[in-house]
Amino acid sequence: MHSKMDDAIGILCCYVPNFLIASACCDQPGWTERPLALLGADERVVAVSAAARRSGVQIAVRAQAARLACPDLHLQPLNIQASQARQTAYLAALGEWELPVESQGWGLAYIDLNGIAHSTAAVQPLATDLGRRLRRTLGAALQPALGWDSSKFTARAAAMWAAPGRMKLVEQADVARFLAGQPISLLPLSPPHLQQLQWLGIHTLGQFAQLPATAVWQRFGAAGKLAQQWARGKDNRPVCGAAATTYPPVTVDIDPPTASLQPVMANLLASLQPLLRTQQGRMEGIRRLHLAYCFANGAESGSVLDFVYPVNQPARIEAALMQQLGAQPWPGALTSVRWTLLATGEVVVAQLSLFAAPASRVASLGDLARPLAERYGAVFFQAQQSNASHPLPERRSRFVDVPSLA
Amino acid sequence: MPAIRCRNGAAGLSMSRLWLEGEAITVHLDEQGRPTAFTWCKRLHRLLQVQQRWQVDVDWWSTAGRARREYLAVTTVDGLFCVIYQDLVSREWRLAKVYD
Repeated sequence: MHSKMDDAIGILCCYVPNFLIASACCDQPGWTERPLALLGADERVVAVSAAARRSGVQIAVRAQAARLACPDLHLQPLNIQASQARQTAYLAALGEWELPVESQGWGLAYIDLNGIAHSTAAVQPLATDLGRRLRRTLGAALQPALGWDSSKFTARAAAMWAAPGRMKLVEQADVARFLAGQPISLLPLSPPHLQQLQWLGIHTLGQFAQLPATAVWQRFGAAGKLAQQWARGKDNRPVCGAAATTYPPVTVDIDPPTASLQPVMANLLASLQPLLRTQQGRMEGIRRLHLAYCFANGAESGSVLDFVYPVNQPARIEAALMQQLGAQPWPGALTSVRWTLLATGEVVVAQLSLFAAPASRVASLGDLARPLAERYGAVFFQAQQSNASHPLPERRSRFVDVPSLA
Repeated sequence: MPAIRCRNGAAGLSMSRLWLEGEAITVHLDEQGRPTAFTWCKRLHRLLQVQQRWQVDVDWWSTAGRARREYLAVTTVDGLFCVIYQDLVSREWRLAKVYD
């Protein structure tokens, strides 16, 4: 139950869908015509265009796997400087009101409207003004969708529901009704948990919210419990101006000192486990990690590990660390590594390719064939008989490709 | 237009490939002008036997054009059973169907 104090809180979520792809296409307009995926520094896919996603390309896969899924894929390295510049311009435009702004990664940010606007009537002109300002700053290709509510999760769900250039303002009285119809995939649960929910027939936030809380806790742990509260419209996280972390630096002693990667990785990963467990419970992830290395010959060096999207999966962290440590010059045996958590963020909503979003009706043949036809060309044909007794097969009937029929 | 796979038989398990517009092939003839082999997909298929032959001459009035063809149902040494035809207007040979 929300108190009157809670009701007074207003959070505006500003969301630019597929920010990295849209940003890349702004620089190279020709890229919009083909399925596009961007590769990060760890040589894994970090952003996927809608056409590539339909072909089965997923975030975090290697370039080769992405090409296997989509032979026509246009793979390009992520231009981090250009994207960063756009993100800075985006945040600067959001910060013009001098209200607390919390950046949650590429194209996603919350603005605390507490004390400024408490009703849709008051928020609407502000949101319109913000939308215009962002369009002026970033151009039409990067125009945001805006969502407003008294909690972060509902505001984000509203922003993701709205089309780019539109806004969805959810009044307190409408929160339950709005969330009930939203897909379960809006929750940043881990992919295995989301799959379990799909298998259990839980497709919407409304269905998830109605499950017994203890059962959800038992099956999905702390993250599941938190996710259910969000699905019920209860999210009391404040907007933090700077996503500061209070996790203390951790020094990992390598005993005996070694120049071999394997024991260093094992020690590092073991030391990261408690942090990752905590983050998984909060549905947060690491965005930036500083690593300081001490070598047996007295040499010291350091590096920063940046994740394009917050990550809390050990396998992803391991792959990135492996790549980072492999690229690092080792002047001698390593005696210790100190890591410091520099930035964290909300885990982005998982991309599930195995399950499509729950459809309200059975998809037509054309709907099913269209994405396949986009990938493979015209491969599905439907016969239309014109003269059943004609001696030539091509004049007995004609074949029309299915997507164009629908 | 790519090949269209058609189900055959009561069980519907076997599939045949049908090219509606015909797949262009090169046919090798003997001195009497009888087909002895054809090349399809860069592979030579020697004819074992001509099982059946028939002619079609239709649609002289149609906007789709007159169709005047000689069809041959043939078996090949390498085990294909297929229908080939010669367009008697353009003199081109085409593969119409391969039974699997």
